[in-house]
Order: sequence, then structure tokens, then C-alpha cells
Amino acid sequence: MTKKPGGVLYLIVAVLIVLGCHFFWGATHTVQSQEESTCISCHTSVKELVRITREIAAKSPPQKSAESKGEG
Amino acid sequence: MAPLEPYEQVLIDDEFFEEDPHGEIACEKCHGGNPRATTVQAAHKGLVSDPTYPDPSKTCGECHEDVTAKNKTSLHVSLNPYKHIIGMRANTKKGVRKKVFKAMDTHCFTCHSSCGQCHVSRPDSVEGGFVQGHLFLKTPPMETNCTACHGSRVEMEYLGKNPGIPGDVHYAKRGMKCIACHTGEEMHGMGKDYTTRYDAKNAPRCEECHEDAVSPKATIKTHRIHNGKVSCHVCHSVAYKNCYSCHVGKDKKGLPYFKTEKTDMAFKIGLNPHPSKNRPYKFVTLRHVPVSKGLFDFYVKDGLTNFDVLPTWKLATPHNIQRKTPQTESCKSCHGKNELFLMEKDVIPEERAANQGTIVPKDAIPQ
Repeated sequence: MTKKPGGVLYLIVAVLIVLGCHFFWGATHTVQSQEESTCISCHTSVKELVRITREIAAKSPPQKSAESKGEG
Repeated sequence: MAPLEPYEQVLIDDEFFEEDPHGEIACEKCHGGNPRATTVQAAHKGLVSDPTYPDPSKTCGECHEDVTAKNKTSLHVSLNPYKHIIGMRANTKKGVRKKVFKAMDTHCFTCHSSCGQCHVSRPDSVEGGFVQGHLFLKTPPMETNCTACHGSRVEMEYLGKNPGIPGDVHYAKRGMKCIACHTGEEMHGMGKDYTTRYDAKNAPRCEECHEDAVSPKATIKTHRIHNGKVSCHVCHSVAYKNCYSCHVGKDKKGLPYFKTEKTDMAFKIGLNPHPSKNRPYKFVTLRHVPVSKGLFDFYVKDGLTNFDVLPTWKLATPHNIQRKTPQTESCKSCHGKNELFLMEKDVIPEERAANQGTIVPKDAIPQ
């Protein structure tokens, strides 16, 4: 049986195309999700969450009674 | 355990979207809310922070149906033993009973767990917050999800945090975490509403690992002598925490509080109040639980008129097992040693009727 020299080349090209598509699509997909969802854009931003949680804490009354005493 | 900073509680790690298959599910599919809103208020309208409680069938159950099918019978979710015990002690008058259970809703039933509060977040009762940036953890970490709630007794005992008392040998020598004995099957529920955790089919049993200790041909003589008569803890645990006289109410701002009068470290052997196939022993270790006759007085007088139907010194399995303890030194370490046993003088007069089944009469103390 004789080896076809072009076979390996085709295989390399095919692998490169698949990997390229994977990384390109993966990155685009993530960016799109994050852009579309305010959930993700806020909840992955430390700066944004610090600002928002501080605002909420300033408005919220205490949630726990100071009168609790002893071990629960 | 110190609570997380508010921002940390809700900060999602990028790894969640990149590594965790759950990160492929759109947030709103589980949590509701509006992912296209531009204000915090609008985005959180209709939001469900824990979509796995009380019913996880529409979330986790989409893929993990085998687990969620039994969720209702998980003691961490149902709290069935609490309902059963207080139900037995409660006044039988319908109106009074209703007020007792309403108080329990406020004070007792807020301490529960769920799929999410084990595998994603710390439980709400310890102020919640993601354990690891919303990643789903197959095994909940002991520190954030087990001992965070089971702190006063289990954590202090198991990790050896009670001054002068060593930690449990399984942790100190072997580094075993809760999950080594308390399996996922036990945590997820057994499909049956048990009235006490000790009856649960997959509850931990020492003999699962220490088979020889319960064999009639046990290599250690004292194991052969005491087999089936004395629980493992009677010989192999040391002083543990007892709590007394809990009262609940609401402060001037309407916030619920609890007050327990005292806690102490003690070791008491008593008669087994709950003999069963798994625990047929005559003698077991007993722990005083914080229940008191006036527990719900703030809400309703005479709430627990049947207080005496159950003991306040309850069957206990302290988490401070040692190979060698003061009891294992010699026969005389226990035999004839009255102070180790729960006697009438150890029980306050108003609780003696409740503990008739656990108090050891003087002539019943092994000599």
C-alpha cells in the first residue's frame, strides 16, 4: 500500500479549521451572552456589586435582632 | 464562621461560565428576573434567590430527577423531627396549636437547607453567599455548609474547639470530614418521613467500619461484654455541650430573637429513651436540649402542655469520639461511679416527669 503525501496536510488543515472555529465561536458566544444579560455583567463585576450592595445596605434596616442571646 | 461581605455573596466567578455545565443555563431559567432590564429593581423583579427551595423539581430535577424525587423527605428540607417533637409536646387545642406552629415558622423552620444551599451557597441561616462564585460543588465543603450551621455542638466537638477537650479521633487522626459518615444518600432523603434522624435508613453506624467491635467474637473483651447493652458513645465519647431553657420572641422592631439561659459541658449516661433495632442499648449518652415549657410563651401561654411526653435529656451521639477515654481506663471507671449517670438530682424538678424514662435509678447503676 502506498501512502498519499497530501493526506497528512489535509488532516492538519481540517484540525486547524475546527480549532479556529471553536475558539472564535466560543469567545463570541461568551461575549454575546455577557452583553445581553445584565445578570452576568453585574454579577461578575466586583466594582459594580460593591457599589450596589453598599447602596442597598444603606437603605436596609437590620435583619437580625440584637436581643438574641446564648447558643442556638 | 464570619459572614461574607455583601458583594462577595453574589459575585459570580468567570469560571462558572467557562467550566461548570450549569453555567450554560440562562440565569433567568432558574432564577426568574429580567436579564434585559437596565435597573437593579427591574432586573430583580420576580427573582427567586434559591430556586431549589422548597421544590427543586423544575430546576435541579430537570436533570437530577433521581435525587430531587426524594427531596421532600430530606431532613434538612422537611425538618420533620422538629415538627413531630413539638407536635407531640404541643397543646392539643387547635387555636393554641396553630400559634405554636406559627411561632415555629418564624423561629425554627427558617433553619433549613436545600440543593442550592448545600451545593452552591452557604445556607441562608448563616447569611448565605456563594461558596465558590456560583460553581456547583459535588461535595459541599464542611466548613461553609455543615459546621456553619451545626456549630455550637458538632463543630466544637468534632474539631476539638471546646477548651480542654480533644477533637474527634476521626478528624484529628484521619482528617475525615462530615461526608465520610453522612453520605449524600442520607442528606438527600430516603423517601420516607422519619420522625427522628436516628431512624433514617442510611444514618451513620459505627459498626459499618468497626465491624469487629460488635461481633460476638470481638477481639476486645469489653466489646464482647457490653455488646448490644451500651452504645459506643458511652465508652468512647467525652464531655459535650448541653443547652438549657430556650425562649423565643420578637423585639421592638419586630425582629425574631431567641435566648438560651445557659450551656454547660457534661457527660451523662442514661437509660435509652429511644430503643430501636439499630440502637437497642440499655445505656446511652444523653444531651440536654434547649427546649423549655415556656419556649413559646411570647406567642401563646400553655403552648406546650404535653411537655412531659418526651425527655429533655435526649439520646445523643456526641461527635468527640476517642479511642481512650476516662471510661475505658478500668471497669471501676463506670461501674459504681454514680456521677457519670443521669440521676434524679441532676434533673431540675420541673423536668423530672419528662425524664422518667431516661433517669437511672440508683439501684440500676451497674456495680
